[in-house]
Amino acid sequence: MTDLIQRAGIRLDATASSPEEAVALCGQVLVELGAVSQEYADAMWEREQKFSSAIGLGFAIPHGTDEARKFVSFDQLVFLRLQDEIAWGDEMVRGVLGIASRGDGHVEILGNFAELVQDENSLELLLSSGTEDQIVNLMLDI
Amino acid sequence: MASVSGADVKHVVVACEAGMGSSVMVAKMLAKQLKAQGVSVTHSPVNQLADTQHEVVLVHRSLAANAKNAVPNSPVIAFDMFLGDLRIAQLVNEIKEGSVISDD
Repeated sequence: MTDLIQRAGIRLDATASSPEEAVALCGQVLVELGAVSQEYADAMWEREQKFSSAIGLGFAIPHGTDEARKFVSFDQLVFLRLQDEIAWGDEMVRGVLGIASRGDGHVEILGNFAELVQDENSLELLLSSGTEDQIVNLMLDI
Repeated sequence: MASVSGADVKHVVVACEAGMGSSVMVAKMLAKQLKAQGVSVTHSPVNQLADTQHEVVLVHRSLAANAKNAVPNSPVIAFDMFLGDLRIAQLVNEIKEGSVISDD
C-alpha cells in the first residue's frame, strides 16, 4: 500500500502568487502521483472558492468536494512549502497540505498534522528547515 | 436557542461541507481531548446532520446558519478558528464539568 504521503509529493521551494495557483499546484502534484484525475484537481479550487481552507498558523489544507471523491484513485497528501508566504483570505500561508481522500483514511494523519503545527519544533521543520524525508517521517509519525 | 447539560453529552458531531479537511481535523483533535469522558466525536456534512446521533453540533461560523436549519432543536456551537479556538476549549470544559451548553 502506498504511504499517505511520499517524498515525491513534497515540494519545498514551491512558487505560487495566489491561493488559486497554490491549489492548482497541489492538484497537479496529486495528478502526477496518479492519486487523482484532473476532475478532482478542478474540484479543489471549486471547493476553495466556497470556503477558505486556511486553518491558521501559516497553513492551508485544500481538498476537493464530496462529489469529487470518485475521482480519487488512492488516498494521498501532498505538501508545498512556498518560497514566499501569500495572502489566503484573511490569513498568511506558507505551508499547503493538499488532500485527496476516498473516505476517512487520512483522518489520523490530519489529526497528527494539527498537533504538529501547534508544536514549535515541528512547525520549524515544516515551514523552514525540514528536508523532504524529515517531513514525510514527521507526518507519518515515524 | 437550544441547550443541553454537558453531563449528558456523549456524541459530538462536527459539521462540515465536504467532510475531508478542516472539520475532520477539528473532530480528531476534539476526540482526543474528550476520550477520557467517553464522548465520541464524529464529522458529518451539514446536509446529513439530521441523520447523525448527537447532543451537540460544532461547526465553523460560516456554516452555522445552515447547520441550525438542518437541526433546529440541537445546540449548534460556532467556532472561528480551526486551531486554538477559545469556544472549542470552552466546549471541552463544559462537557468535562457537566455545565450547560447553549447556542444562544
